[in-house]
Amino acid sequence: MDKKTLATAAAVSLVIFLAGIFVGWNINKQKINVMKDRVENINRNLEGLQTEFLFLNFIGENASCPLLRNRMIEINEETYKLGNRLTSYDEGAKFKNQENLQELKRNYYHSLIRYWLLSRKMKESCGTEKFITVLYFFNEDCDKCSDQGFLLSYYKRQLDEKLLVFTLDADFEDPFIKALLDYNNIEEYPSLVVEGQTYKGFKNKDELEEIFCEKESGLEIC
Amino acid sequence: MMFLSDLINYAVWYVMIFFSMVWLLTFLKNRDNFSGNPGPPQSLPSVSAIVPAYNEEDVIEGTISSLLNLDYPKDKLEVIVVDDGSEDRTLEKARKFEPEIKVIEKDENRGKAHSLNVGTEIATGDFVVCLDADSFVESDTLKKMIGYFENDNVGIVTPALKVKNNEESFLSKIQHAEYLLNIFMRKIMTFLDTLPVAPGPFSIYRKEALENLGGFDEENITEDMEIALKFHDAGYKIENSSDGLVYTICPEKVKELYRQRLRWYRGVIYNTFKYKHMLFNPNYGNLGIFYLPLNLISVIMIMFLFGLIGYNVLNNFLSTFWNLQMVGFNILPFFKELNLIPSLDLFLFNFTTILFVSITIVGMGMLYVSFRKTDEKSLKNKAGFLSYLFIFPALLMLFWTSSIIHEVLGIKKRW
Repeated sequence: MDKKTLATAAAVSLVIFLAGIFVGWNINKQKINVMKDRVENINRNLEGLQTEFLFLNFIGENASCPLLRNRMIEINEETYKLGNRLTSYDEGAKFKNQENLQELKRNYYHSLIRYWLLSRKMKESCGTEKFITVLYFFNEDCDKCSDQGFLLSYYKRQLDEKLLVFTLDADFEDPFIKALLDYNNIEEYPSLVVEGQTYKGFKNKDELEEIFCEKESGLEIC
Repeated sequence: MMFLSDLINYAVWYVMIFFSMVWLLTFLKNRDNFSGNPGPPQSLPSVSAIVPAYNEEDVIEGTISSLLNLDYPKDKLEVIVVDDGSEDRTLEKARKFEPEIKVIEKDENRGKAHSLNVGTEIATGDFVVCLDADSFVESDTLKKMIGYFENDNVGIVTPALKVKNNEESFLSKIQHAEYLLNIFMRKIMTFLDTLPVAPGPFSIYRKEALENLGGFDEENITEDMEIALKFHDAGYKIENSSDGLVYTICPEKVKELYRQRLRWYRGVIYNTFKYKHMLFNPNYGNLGIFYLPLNLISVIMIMFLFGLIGYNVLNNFLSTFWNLQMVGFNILPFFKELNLIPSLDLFLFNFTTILFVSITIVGMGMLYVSFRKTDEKSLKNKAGFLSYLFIFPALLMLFWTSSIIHEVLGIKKRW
């Protein structure tokens, strides 16, 4: 093989290879932008939810609560889908821009916390709404966190909008997450805060079912 | 572990692109010489056709007939059938063609290479051509191929192999696609002087060179690869006729295919190590620097990738099993959000999908070009071609892994 063919092949291959990396990098960048848009959309929905809360006092529970409920279901679907995409991106993508990713995660966690707060408030205000809120704290070194996450996903699939799970990374440097950890006295992982009550350590299927049914006996699993 | 596997992934990707570019550039440089052959010499040389046969009663008559139908002067062509101790009616059926052909009956089964050597010893032609007993040659093939020997450096000329039983089973349809691609690839390899095999069906040898080099290795179950490397080692060139057609019977069942590929791939490993002095040796040109090392590196990469895939599959399986046992194997809730058709958005694209799509496009391009160049007009075999791209590689990877294990453990080789 002449050197010219070899050199041409090496050069063209390098161009194709680098083009592939460039395309991959751009796709990752676009993925971040898409997820940012989704977070902004969630935040707009949350603002809408807050406005609807103000209506609650004005026009009464019977008229407002259905509105709130529909909004909650919409936000529930969006946050769940976005959470999966964020996890999959964080674990799988090559050539991530860490700065953009950290900022995205921060915005996402803040949205989650706002959603959690509003969902707790909704439950207080709309007595007829039957659902459970679960704050789930995990960290990187936790052996049983993966199992706990799976069990929560299992119940999420079973109960859908009747179970709202807010998954927070305890290792993530954020004052709001730190405040929640301190407030709920979280010292080990995994830990759950179900309807305001803290449960430390891994909870298996039966234990979770017992906790959920204790908080809301009208669920289909009870 | 993850960093190492990423590095291997990228290295594999770059190496695959690089070698694809080498093939492509070689093809483009030589595309005007792809088809066609040097014309036969005015004075045609004498050729001896040897048919080693063991239990081939169903096909031997067709093979002998195709040789006798060759468009070649009868006084310049002799046909020798060497029966390797057949236990069926192979010998009886071959003898029906006497005295037009010679039939040698061996006392015991001693393998194909031994039969070829026996045939070569009694052959009177200046050139020896071997035809497997389950193969059939087109009448104009010999004349298309013999002209290459006008170059004294040429030691072997190889044909274009196609599958005869390409409609019989799904597996044979896949191999039909594979053989067409091989015609294309082997021609390119001859431009680079890296063709590492003289296929059993209808490879022609310069008899004097064959004898000087000691004939076929009787201990080797892939004597066709060994003889090619032997000729390269001695400085001969191996040529290929991309339209000198020979049809062969391919395995129709997975078990038969496995046995065939086990033998072939063990042969690649064994022969590469037998001729390890050629590896990375510039004295052997592109074969030494480029092709043989590529084979060796491919074997190591296959082992690593298979190990990695196996580890991931096992890990996923165990993890899924563990998760399901936590929920008492109640899988019904998981069907609620089962999405058989994934949404077409950016998140569908990751390294794996981009790599998969790229390899598919390149693979389909190569198949299309080999199609055109091998003059294969029938496009009916779409299922076979698509399966060749997507299913066959996984099957071959399993066969390769088994071959490596067999060779490393030194398990006895058999036909």
